[in-house]
This record gives sequence, structure tokens and C-alpha cells, in this order.
Amino acid sequence: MIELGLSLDVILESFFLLLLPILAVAILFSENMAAIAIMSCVFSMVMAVIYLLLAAPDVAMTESAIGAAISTAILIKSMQLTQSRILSDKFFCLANIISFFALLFFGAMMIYGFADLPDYGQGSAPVNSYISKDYIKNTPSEIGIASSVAAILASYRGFDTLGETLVIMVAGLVVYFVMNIERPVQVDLLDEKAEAVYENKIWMTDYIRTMLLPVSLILAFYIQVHGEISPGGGFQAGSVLSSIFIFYFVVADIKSINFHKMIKTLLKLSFVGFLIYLLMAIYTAVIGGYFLEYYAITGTLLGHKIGIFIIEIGVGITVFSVMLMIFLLFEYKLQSKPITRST
Amino acid sequence: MNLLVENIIPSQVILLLFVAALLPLFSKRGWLISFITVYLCAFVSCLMIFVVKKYGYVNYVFGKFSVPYGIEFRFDPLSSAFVALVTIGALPIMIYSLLGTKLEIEKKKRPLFYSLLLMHIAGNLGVIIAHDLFTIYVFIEIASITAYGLVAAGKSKQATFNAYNYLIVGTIGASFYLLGIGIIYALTGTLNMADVAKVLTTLPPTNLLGISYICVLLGILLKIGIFPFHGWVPGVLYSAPSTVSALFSVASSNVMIYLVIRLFFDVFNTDITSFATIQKLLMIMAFITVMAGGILALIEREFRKMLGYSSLMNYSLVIFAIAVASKAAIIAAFVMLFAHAIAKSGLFMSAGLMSLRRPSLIIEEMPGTFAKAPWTTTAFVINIIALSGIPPFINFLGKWQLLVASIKQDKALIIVAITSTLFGLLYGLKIIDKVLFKPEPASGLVANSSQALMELGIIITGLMILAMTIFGGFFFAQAEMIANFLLRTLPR
Amino acid sequence: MNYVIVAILLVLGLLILLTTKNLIKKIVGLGIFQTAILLFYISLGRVHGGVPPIVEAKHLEDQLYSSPLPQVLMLTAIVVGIATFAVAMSLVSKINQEFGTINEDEIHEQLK
Repeated sequence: MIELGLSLDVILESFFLLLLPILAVAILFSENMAAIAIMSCVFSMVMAVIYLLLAAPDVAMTESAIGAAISTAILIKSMQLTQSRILSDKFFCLANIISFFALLFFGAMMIYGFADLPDYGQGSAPVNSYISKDYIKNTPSEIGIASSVAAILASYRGFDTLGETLVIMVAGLVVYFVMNIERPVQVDLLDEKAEAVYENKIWMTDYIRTMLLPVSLILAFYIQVHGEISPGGGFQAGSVLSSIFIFYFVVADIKSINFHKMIKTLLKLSFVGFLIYLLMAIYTAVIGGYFLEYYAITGTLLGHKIGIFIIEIGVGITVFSVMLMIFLLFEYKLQSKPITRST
Repeated sequence: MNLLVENIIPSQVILLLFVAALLPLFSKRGWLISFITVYLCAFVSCLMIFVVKKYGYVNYVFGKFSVPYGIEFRFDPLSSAFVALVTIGALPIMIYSLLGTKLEIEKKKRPLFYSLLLMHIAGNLGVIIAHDLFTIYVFIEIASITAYGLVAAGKSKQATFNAYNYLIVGTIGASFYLLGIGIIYALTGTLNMADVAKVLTTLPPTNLLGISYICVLLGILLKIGIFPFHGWVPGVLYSAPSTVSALFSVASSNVMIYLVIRLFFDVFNTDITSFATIQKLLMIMAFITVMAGGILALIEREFRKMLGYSSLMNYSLVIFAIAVASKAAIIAAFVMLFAHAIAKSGLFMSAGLMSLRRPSLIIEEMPGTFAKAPWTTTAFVINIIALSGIPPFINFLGKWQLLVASIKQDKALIIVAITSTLFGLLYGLKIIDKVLFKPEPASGLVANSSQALMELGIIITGLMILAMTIFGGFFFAQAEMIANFLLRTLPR
Repeated sequence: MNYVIVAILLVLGLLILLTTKNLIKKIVGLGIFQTAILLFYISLGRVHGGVPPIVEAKHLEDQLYSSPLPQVLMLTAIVVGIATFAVAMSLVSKINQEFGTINEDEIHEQLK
């Protein structure tokens, strides 16, 4: 007898999971760039919801802020910069058909192989029972904070997070390096048609500036500081705050913004953020411990709290400045092109 | 201030990152600081070789946690050898880079360029020293993203497009690696390499395990340039700044080869059948790439692209030798790897010097440089002869060793050794002929004092090849020790 | 079931990457490929009836938690993904500046 033990979360999970391939196929066959951008945004949002259903709130926050918000903003900006609106792809040529069958074989092999994985959701799987269990068990006594995700991220595997902060900083550096803004360009004045659009935008910028930004600043600080006892931390706070700023810059008055100085300041700020993390690592070594041994700071569990707090600030600063800087670099490049209003 | 002596183990990576982060904030030029930093790292590598000789291996866990919970850094004969290769091999490149960057990178971007360079080296060292599968992924990405930026710094129009292609292939490779270690993590529950090796021996050999090995190895091999995904290799090495191409010859692909060696011998080595299967797969893929690389190198008319295909051939040859997995073959692999890295970096630097006046180096039109720059040309010729595997230099000894190893192992393997040597000879002779025997002097290679440092870098690589040849016995003995270390677990 | 979706997304992501000639759409496909791997890891850590691994004092002794380690790894992976994405986009815009197009075939034509 088939038991329909379908609880609510299984139904929800399946619903959102089935949306994903549908979106992916839609992106595959789509020829309209704007549609692709929106669909990839929705894809990330659905992913964030799925992570929430899989009991991973930290990841859900990060995915929604970074995947859905920032990644879409950069995607749209680069579409504007390359002025691509409609694709022209031949879908049924020989190379594509070969790739399709090769990938079909690959997919079938993966599904066949995945059958050997430990059953989904079992507490006895190696992932859930070996070191993860010990992490959860030992976090209160060894690290002293509530969130074992933050404990692993910042303390147990703190060096990985240092590498990750480095990756963000490097991405900002490489984008800055490639986009070459060394020659400050005169931004064209807006023409009449754009002037009308600009008038409409003023209420939006006022709204964002007076209501949205202050509230989200408080939210971002809350997320930053509460990373140790609830889902949150440096990555989430940095990305949420930068996405609000990006929202502001999307609608703001471009004439009065000194992009050049802002970008350079943000670049330096990202280095400062990374250095905060690195200097904390070096400091723990200098005072006689191993690198990243927070325990050595005070000799008690308080050392861990201090260490984690400081490095999360470093991470938050780096993430915020790099995400915002990358967006501003694209915006700046866009503004410094001669404006040809065709539609 | 009481410093623990163990902290020297991750000190190279931390120092490189520290200097790289400070460089754009405070420095206008940055060459001297970069050079000193790399020199210090090379010094520490030599120190660690002695330490490893004395203690067998040393490990270090960040934050003083215990092994599966924290991230482990480990120096053992294999990793200390590769760290030495990357840091010591980077020294002549840093000497060369003072002028190399002056001529190829704009002044304002130079501190950022050096910063990226140092971070690239740090990323490579991190992959070698880290003993944790996921940390290796993070450092692979650090090395890769800095690499994309470094390639895109090239002046030509193609540089950015080649960087883009490199990015696509590189990210797919890193993602396959991530997928593979995800499956391994699902089956073992841990990420530390020693721990994973231990747990893997207790698992039944399912299809999934085989798929995960393939995913991981495929990902790594994609980043080296295995056939049929080799298209990006010549373009990248051609359009990148010459400093960068030279550094890639010493670092990036060699570090990927390190990863293959490490995984093949220490982690995936669970039982005889799986070992044999991976062995056969590696040998087949390496063989195809050797053939492809050799043929493409012969028909290629541009110097740097030819060097790119030759690199591909040499890397695959090394992987082939590793896959054979006999003691003699491993010794051959190491000798060939090290010798190739030094010789190839010298050749890329020479190409950079030659391209000062002529942007595209078609082999038929290469200048005869002997008259105006005798020392450099000698070094260049040494490097080319070494690269081709012509006696008496160390590369030839390595290839001879491979021949010996394949005779002992299996007659069919001799074909690979002989054909690759033939390819090498053919393309090497083409170049030597042009450079040494062309009567008219070069119009572009005026040896003035400002180029002296560039030439010094090239000459140092030539001297290194000479040194490795003269002290060949010592070199072979070191390789033998590494081979013994790798094979210690083999009869499982 | 999750794992089947993961495999399908892996295939679709690579398919988008390989079948389109537009440089931007390729990166979107790459992003889908990477996101599928993230889903794989997080699904590994799921425990039926488990809550997010935030250990508060008032929780009972035998409270089930989802595994924290895959989540930490995937935080890193998301960040690495966007880093690659941003770098790729900047390269595409520079390619557009140099070649005037972001169609792979047209660029190959220009390079001949």
C-alpha cells in the first residue's frame, strides 16, 4: 500500500525544485536578453527559498542578496554596456546536437551514480554524523557562540574564509584592473527626453535616501553583529547593504556623483577590510599562538568572540566595498559612453 | 613577542598576501618589495626542505584545532619539492619583471599588477601546502582569478578574449573538482586528505566513487589543457605579458600536476583495481594529449604558440610518467617536470625580449641574435636544447630515464617516450637553426644597459639548467627520495 | 529527488554554455552549473525534521540539526561564484569595447 506521507515541506520543496529546470530550459531557448536577466534573477530567488526549506538560512540570505540582487544588477549593466538585446543563435546545428547527446549521457551517468548516495535527509549519513555532529556538539564549549555555522566559518575553518575574502578582494581588483578608468571622462549632460525621465526619478531617490537606506543600514548592522547567534554575519550584511546602495545608484542623479573618487575609495576600502582579517591572523601569531588561534587573545572563550567579531567586520567591509565598486565601475563605463538615445 | 616556530609553515602564504594587500595602498612601484618577498619565500622553501628531510613531514593546523576539524597545512617530500619549484623558479622571473612590466604594463597599473602576481603565487603555494580538499578549491580559485586578470593585462586585442576563454574552461574545471569532492564528502563525511584516504579504504567500490574520481581528475586536467579541451593554451600564453607566461610555466599547470600526483597516490589509492583503472585512464588521456601537442607544435608557425603546445606535450608526458607509477618512471617525471619548468620560463622571457620590436614572432622570421647579445643567446640556446631533450642537458637525462622506465615496464610505453622526444627534437632544431645560424644581425635586439636585467633573468635560467645537469646525480637522488615517499603506500 | 534535479541542472547549465554564441549567455549557463553544485552540497546536509544548526540553550538534548559544514562550504562557493561572474562580465565588456561584438563567431571572424 502506498503511503502518502507527504508533509507540507516535502510538497513545497518539490514545487520549488521543479521550477528550476523549467527556468533553465526557458533560459536555454530564450533569445531576449532582458528575459534571460529576469529569469536568472528568479532562478536565484527560487534557490534562496529552497535553501530556506532545506534549513540553511545563512546560505539563503547570501544567495538572495548576492545571486538574486547583485548578480542581476551586474548582468543588466553589462547587457546595457554591450548593447545586446536580442540574440541570434542557431539551436539545431551539428555541434549543438553532439553536445546535447554527450551531455545527456553525462546526466544519465550522474543520475545513475547518485543512486548510490546515502538516502536523502538521513541523520546517519556520513555528512551528518561524522564531523558535523562533533562541530555542533563542541561549538558551545570550544567556541562559545550559538551559531555553529558562524563558528565553523570564522573559527574552525577560518582560513578558508580568509581565502574567500581574498577571492572577493581579488575579483574587485581584477575588475578594476580590466575596466581601466584611469582617464576621467566627462559625463555627458542629459538631453531633453532623459530630463523628463529624470524628473520622475526624484521622488524615488528621495524615498530611498530618506526611508530605505537608513532602515537597511540598521538592518545590515544587525545582521553583521548578530552573525554569532543567528543567521547572519559579514557576508550577508555586506551584500545586503551593498544591494541597497546599488538600488540607490540605479535611480540616483548621475551628474552629481564623483564616480572616480568613489571607486578608488571603495578599492582601498576593500583592501582595508581584507587587511583587518589578515592582521587579526598575524596578531594571534605574534602574541604566541598559531595563526587564527583566537583563544590566545585572552586565554578564555572571550577570545573567540572578539576574534570572530573583528574578522566578520573585515569580511563585511570587503564584501560591501567590492560589490558596490564593481557595480559602480560598470555604471561609470556606461555613463562615459556617448549617449545615443535610439528608443 | 614570542613566536612559535611552527608558524613558519604557513608564513610564505601569509607574507605574500600581506605584501600583496599593502602594495596598492602604499607603494608607487612595488618591484623591489615584490622581489624581496619572493626571495624570502624561496629562502623559507629551502629551509622547509631541510626540515622535511629531518622530520619526514611537518603539519600545522590553523587555530590549533585538531586535524579533521581545522584546516591542515602539511610539508612533506612532495609538497616541499613543489613549493621549492614555484618559489625558486619565480626568482629569475621577478628579476626579469622589472623591465618586463615597464615595457608591457602602464605605470599606474603596475602596483596592481605586482599585487596580482604575488597573490597568484600565494594561491599556487596554498594549493600545494594545504592538506584539505576544500581549502585547495579556494586556493585554486584564487590562483585562477588572479591568472585571468594577469592574462587580460596583455596589450593585444586578443588578450581579453583569450582570458575569457581561459575563464570559461578554468571555471568549469574548478566546478567539476568541487562536484567531485562533494561526492567524496558525501561518502566519507570529511574533507581532510589524510582522513579521507583513511575512510575511503573502508568503503565499498561503488560506481559513484569512480564517478567522483573522474569528476575531480577531469576538473584538474581541464585546467592543464588536456585534449580535446586544449584550445585555450596557446592563445593564453601568446597574448599574456611575457612575465605572466613565464610564471605560468613555472607555477600554474605544475601545481595542477602536483594535485594529480597527490590525489592519485595519497587519496584515491584505495585498492588495486581502482588504482589500475585510474592509471589506465590517465595514461590514455596523457598519451592523446602528447600526440596532439606534439603535432600542433610542429605545424605552428608562431614562436610563443609553439611554446604553448610544447608545454602541453611536456605536461602530458609528465602525467603519463606518473601514471606508469614505477619508481623509475616517477623519477623521470620529476626530473622532466622541473627541467621543463625552468627551461620554458627562460624561453618565454626570451620571447618577451625578442618581441620588443616585433610583436609577432613567426619562426621563419626570427632574428639571428648571437652577434649582439652573446650571453643571452647562449642561455636561450641552452634552454631550447634542454627543452627539446637533446643531450647533454637535464631534460635529456629525464627523457632517457623515462625510456628506461618504460622498457622495464611495458614495451608499448616506449612509443610514447620516443615520439615525444622526436617531436621535441624537431621543433627545437627549427629554432636553433634560425637563432644561431642566421647571418644578418637583429635589427631589434640592441643590447643596452636597460635591458640588462631582463637578460639577467634569462641567463639565470640557463645557468639553472646547467646547474641541474652538472649536479644531475644529486637531482636524481632527490627525485628518488620523492618516488620512495609516493610509493610507500602502493602495495595495498 | 533533489539529486535528480541537481543532475538535470548540471546538464542544462553546460548545455546553455555550449549551445549559445553570445558571451553573456554563456556565463549565465556557467552560473546555473555552479548553482546546481551548491544545491547538491546543501541537500547532502539536510536532516528530515532538522532545524538550522544554531544551538540555543533552550533546545532539547535530542534536537535534530541540519549539518553546518556544507552550509559553510557553500557560503564560500557562492562568493567564489559571484567573483568569477563579475570578472567574466568585466572581460565581456572589454571584449565588446575592442571587437564591437559579443558574438563568438563574429569575434573569430575578426581574429582570422
